[in-house]
This record gives sequence, structure tokens and C-alpha cells, in this order.
Amino acid sequence: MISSIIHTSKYKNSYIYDHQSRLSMLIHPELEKVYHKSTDVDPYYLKKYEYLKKHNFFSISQPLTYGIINESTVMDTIAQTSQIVFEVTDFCNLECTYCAYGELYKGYDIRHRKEINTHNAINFLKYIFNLKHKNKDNKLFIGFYGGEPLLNGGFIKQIIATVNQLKSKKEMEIEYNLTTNATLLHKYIPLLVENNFRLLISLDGNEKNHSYRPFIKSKKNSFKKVIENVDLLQRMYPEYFKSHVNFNAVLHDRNSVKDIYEFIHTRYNKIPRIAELSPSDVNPDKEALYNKMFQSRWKSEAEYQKDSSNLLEKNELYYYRNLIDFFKYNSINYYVSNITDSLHNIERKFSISACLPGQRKILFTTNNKLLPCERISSKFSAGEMNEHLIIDIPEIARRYNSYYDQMKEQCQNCYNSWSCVKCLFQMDNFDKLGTKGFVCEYFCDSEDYKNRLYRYFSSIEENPKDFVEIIENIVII
Amino acid sequence: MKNTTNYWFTVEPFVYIGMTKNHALLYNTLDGMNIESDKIEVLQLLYEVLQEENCGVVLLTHERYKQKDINGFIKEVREKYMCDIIDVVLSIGKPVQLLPYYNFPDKHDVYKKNNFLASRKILQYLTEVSIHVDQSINITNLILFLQSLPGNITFNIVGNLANVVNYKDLLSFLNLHDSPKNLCCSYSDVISLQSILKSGFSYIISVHFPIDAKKWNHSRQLLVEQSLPVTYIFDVLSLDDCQQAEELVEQFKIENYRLNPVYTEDNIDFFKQNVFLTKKDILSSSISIKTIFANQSINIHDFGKINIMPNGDAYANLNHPTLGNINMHSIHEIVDKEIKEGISWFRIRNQAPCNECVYQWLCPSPSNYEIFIGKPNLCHVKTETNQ
Repeated sequence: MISSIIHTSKYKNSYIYDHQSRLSMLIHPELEKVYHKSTDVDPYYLKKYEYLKKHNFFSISQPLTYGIINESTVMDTIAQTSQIVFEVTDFCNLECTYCAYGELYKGYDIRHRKEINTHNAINFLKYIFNLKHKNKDNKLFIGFYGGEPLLNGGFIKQIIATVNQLKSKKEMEIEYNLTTNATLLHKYIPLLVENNFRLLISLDGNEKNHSYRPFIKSKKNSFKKVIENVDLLQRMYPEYFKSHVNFNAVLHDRNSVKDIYEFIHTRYNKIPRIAELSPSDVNPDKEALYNKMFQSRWKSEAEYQKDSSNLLEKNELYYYRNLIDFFKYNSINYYVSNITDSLHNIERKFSISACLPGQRKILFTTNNKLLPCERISSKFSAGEMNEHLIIDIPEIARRYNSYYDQMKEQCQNCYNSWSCVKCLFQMDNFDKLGTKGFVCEYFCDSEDYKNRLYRYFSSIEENPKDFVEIIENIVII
Repeated sequence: MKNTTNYWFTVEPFVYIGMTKNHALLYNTLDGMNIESDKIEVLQLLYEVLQEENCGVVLLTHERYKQKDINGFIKEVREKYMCDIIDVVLSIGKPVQLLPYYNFPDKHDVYKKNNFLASRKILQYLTEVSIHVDQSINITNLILFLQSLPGNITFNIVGNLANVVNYKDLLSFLNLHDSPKNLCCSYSDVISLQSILKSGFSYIISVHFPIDAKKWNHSRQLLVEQSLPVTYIFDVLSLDDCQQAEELVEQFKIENYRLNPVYTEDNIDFFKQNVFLTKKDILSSSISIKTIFANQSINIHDFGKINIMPNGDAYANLNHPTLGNINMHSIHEIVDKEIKEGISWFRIRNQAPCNECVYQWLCPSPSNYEIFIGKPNLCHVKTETNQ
């Protein structure tokens, strides 16, 4: 059951958070005493408490009304997808210890050194182009993912040629992106630069930091080759490098947020993206290795923040991102970026996040399967493209409605349900969904949420200008 | 001992603050209570509360608290649970109050940017399509266009369907959709639907006075036989029309009806007396935080709606320029144009004299009456305030 929470802050101020109305309210400590049924209370606050109670504060929140996915929503979502990602090959020339497709994890398709079927991929691309409205403001992102996508550069060239034919009819803007380990970058620099590819290069920091990323054959650290290629690209095309190249690092026990920032910023003047090791689907046999390697981003970031010369940018910080989520979903200013919800008495929500195919992207795999993204198992495939496209729209609608239905009870009582972006498909216990034994691993009860509120309000009290700054920049994409 | 208590002063987050240079209104969205003030000290205090760096809380020194106007104001707002003061010694640092984002200068741009400009799923904003029909309409082209619309849209078919050659094709097509479908026509143009064509259909019948009794009785007969939901819209030009409407409602036991005042250029007094709003009218309905957000950002009458004329021209509001033609433009292009360049969906009360009024965002969005009458505000508030 969800009801109002009274919480404090670092400065010892008291607040009420009312989940139902999304209102957070500064309160006098006397009101808190009334709530806790203390005696010897200022009579004004006894009356104020009754007044607030009459207006639904301190009551149990009404159950949420959940939305239903219908067939036209599924179809619209596919048609309006803004990103197609091709799994160019399932093979990689590196053998990263923490790779999602390696021994550390379970639940992914076995890798067969398989390349994508060009004919089917092109047919799928044509299908998506056909669904697009002719509009010069339409933008389609086309991504290449692997394995290491540059092991199959020929495919990338063929897709570019096909897109050049298709895009003129639709007046669409196309933007290519590629995630790469950069070890083969030297072979494709002109192609990538000419077509304005946005590159996301995996680099964990300095040589020692990068040592979980060895070549598969020689078992040697790939660092030197990566740096040689990235330096070459920067030397040859400094302007392109400045505007189109970014870095992605995985945080583990051989690096830190400080190491990653300082190496990449000093050498390339870039602020890297940093990801923790994924906690989902860890192979039970490798749990000890996972625990040894795992490092919390929050802790590493907090450590680095103590350094007065740190390079951290506020909007990348863990606390700030949490604050954004709080304002975006759980504060009254939710309506600033969800204005159409202000028109309805009943706001329809979906329980836990389970992206429809096309909601963020569509991944076309080496097995010709269509997935909502690259981070989930192929068992969540939404369709296939072999000789013909097979997408069972009614079945997708039925399946997703069934997921939402089965999550309802947990989400109904979770304080984090509005801002939850945890992916249902990445839950370790997904197979138990619908059974009594299923418990959402991200469930947030009142005590947990009270602690979060303490952190949020302590942070805003220290940096009050963050409030308006965040509200004005919450852009829903 | 001398009392030297300093306080944190704050306005509760469920209170709307309307401020102009010389006037302030506090409106409690929980119970509809309000307080107005034109005292300089009070205006200054509220102005400070709204400053970005203060985040909803202002230090109220003992001396300031004792100032007559402030002291009287604080007593009143505390009685109505709209503001509070907290002794600063009760905590070790300045608190914050997360007020709704009502009073910032860039709010309109922020609403548009955060909701619409970055969104690629613009068709989700489309909620209602009104199809205006006459004998010139090309039903085949229309159906082709309707096939490209997303699901869950309310359809209004406006006009005399009997004049349209292939109207049954249109109805058969719409019958396949689960969404609500309203047949909007004069009582003299009611057509009977085949029994198989009744999924989600309703009638919206307009009545203009004086009525033709024979046609009225015929339409009543037809509508009773149909057993479909019916709503009557009575066009009223005068109090006399209102009375006639009430008589019909009583005589025929009509449950669902609305009065629709029609401006003729000769009946401005009727409008001033019955349509123009007073302060009491504005405050008589409870206005929620959500409503204020909506009033600040979108036109609640027009938002999400598109009209299609018999020649294919598409409008968000028939009184504003066309957004394109369904024979040449996709629904995506039409909606996109309204979001980026249109003046209907985002027509709000941001013009003079509304932008100098503390009731600005408590008032409903501008309607078509403002356009017909040629006045941006149809109210007596300014006159009442000046009295």
C-alpha cells in the first residue's frame, strides 16, 4: 500500500511526499509530531493535519489505471522507429572478460562466428523505409553493432549504398553510428569519415585499465592497437574526431572513474560514458569473478568528487541523474514534460518498462531476428525476416499486455513505479513471472523511498538552483 | 525577554500564485479559497519566494514579520493553510519548497520544448478528427487517408450524410474501428444507420431556433428507433432561445444536451450577460494544478483535434489557416505543421489584457468566441478589479 511519507533532510528540515498527487511539501516539525501522534502539539498543526487529511494527504493512494497495448500501437511503434541497428557479425577479435556474450554471463545466443544475412537485412531496411512518412524532418539512425562490426565492413558499405538509393524518395535525414573496439579502425577511416559516422569507441582507460580487453588469438592487451588507431584518426581528421567520436568505458576493478576520465580527457579532450558491469544474467559459476570485478559507479564517482580538480560534469553525476528522474516522474512538475496527462483525470500507466519493438530501436540480428534492443536475449524476439517478414502484431500486443498484467500487483505497491526504467527482459527471475515466487528485484518500499527522498532533498537544499535548471531541461525523447 | 524569532516563509505547493506589478492572487487548488493583495510589502515577499535561487522559501526576519501588512497577510494565509512560517532554529539550514513551475518567464518555451519539439511520436497527440461532408467529398480518397491514422481516435462526421453518394462506404470503414464515432448533424438531417453499423456510433444533433416541428418529430422518431446515444446541442442567440431549449428538454425528457451560444454581431449584450466571465464564475469551479498547467501550455478546446473539409483541406481550427490537404499531405505532415507553425493547439491567454491579470492561468483557454467577437478576453474581471 502506498501512502504519504514524512521524511527529513541533511539540514534537518521535514517534508511530506504524497505519491498520489506528486506533491512534496515542506512542513513544520509540529505537523510531523501530529502525524506521529505525539502529545503536546501546537493546536494549529492539529487542525492543519486534519485539513490535509481531508484533502487526501496521508491516505492510501488510489490504484493506478494501467494502459493497454493494442495492435495499432504496436504497428505505429514499429513504423515510427527512429533507429535500426544491425548486428553485423556475432564474432569479435577481442575476448573481453566482462563481455555480455562471454563466459561471465548466461542467457544469450551462442556465438557461431556468423555474419548478418545482407539480403534479408536490406529487405528489412526497405520495409522500414516504406513505412516512413515523407518528411524532411524525419531522421533515421542506422547503427552497426557486433561482435566487432568492422570485421564485416563489406556489409556496412552495402547498407550505405542501399540507404543512398532509398532516402531520396523520403527526404529523410540519415545518421550512422558504430560501436567499435577500434582495433580495425585503420582499414575504414575514409568510409566512416565520408559518411559522418558517429563512433563510440570502447576504451577502459590507460593500458592497465584496459587489460580486460585482450585479443582473442594472442591474448595480448588490445590497448596499443586501439590507441594507435584512435591517434591515427585524430591526426588525419581532427575536426571529424572532435565532433563525431566518443568513448565508452566499462568500470571494473582495474580502473576507476578518475582513471577513465583523466586518461581519456587528457589524451583526447573527451568526456567518456561509463557503464558498470551488468548485474543481469550473471553465470552462477562465475559469480565470484563478477564480484571481484564489479565496482560501483556511485562509489567511484563519489571518491573522485573529493578531488577538487575532478573533471566530472554535473549532468553525468549519479546523484544528479537520480534527481532528474525524481523531478521528471515523481514531482508535481512531471506535467511540465507530460502536459497531455494534465488533460485527463485518469493517467494511464504501464507497469515496468518493457520496450516494444521500435520504441527505442529495432535490432536486426545475425539470426534474422528482430529485437527491441541489443541488451536482451533473443527469446524476446518480436519477429523474423527471412524470405518474408514475419511479425505477428496481435501476438506481440497479447504478449506485452500479459507482461504488464503480471507485473501490476508489484508495481501498484512500488514507490518507484513511475520512474522505473528497469527492463523486465533483463530481470534474472523473468522466467518466474506470473508465479507466486516472482518478486521484482527493483521493488521500492516506503523505507527505501524515504531514504531516497532524504538524499534528493539534502541535495536540493545544498544546490537550490538545480531545481529550475533540471525542470527547464527535461526533454523527453 | 525580547522575541527575536526569524522564520522561513513558504507558500504551499498546492497554491497558485498569480502576480502582476501591483497585484497578487493566491489560489488554493485544494479547496478553491483565495486571497488577493496589493500591499507592496506582501508583493515583494511573494516576488522573493518565486526567485529561482530561493527555491520557494524566504528568510522572514523578526522585523519584517512584525511589519503590519506582512503580519496581517501571514495570519490570513495561515488560517487558510496556504502558506506557513517555520522558526529557523528548528533546523540547521535553509529548506526548499518544490513549487509547480508556473511563474518562470520561459515557461511556454519550456513546455513546448519538453513535450513536443523533441518528440518523434507526434501522432500520439492526435485525439479527434472531424470530417466535414457534403456532396463534393471524395470518399475513396478520404478513406485512403483515414487508413493512415493511428488507432483510438474519436471521429466526428459533420454535415448532411444523405447528400454524400458513397457515405455507406465511409460508415462501413469507420465501423471497423473500436474508437468512438459521432454523427454530427442538424435535427433535420438525421439518417438511420443499418443495424450492422452501430459499433461505437453516437449522434450529436444540433438544433437551431425556431424549429420545424414536423422535422423535429420525424428526427425524434428516427433517433428513438436507433437506440444509440444522443446529445443535443442547442444553438442559442438570446435568452428567448435558451428558454425554448429548456422547454424542449423538459417536454422530450432530453438527458444529454448543451447550450451553444452563437454570436451574430447583434447579440453582444446577451454574451456580456451570459457568456463573459466574472471573478465569481472563474472561481466557482475547482481549478486543479493540472488544469493550470494545461491552461499555461495548450488550448484545451483545440489541442489534439484536426478538421478535414470536403475538399481535403485540413485545419486545427476552422478559423485559422489550413495546415495542408489530405490529398497531398500525410497526417504526420499535417500534425507536424500544427506543432511547429500552427496557432490553434497552442493558443493560450498570453496576450494583453490577460497577461496583465492575476487570473490569467485560472481562466479556461481562449475559445472561438474570442475570435468571432474580436476580443482576446471575454470577461468582466478587469472592470471588477478597477471598481
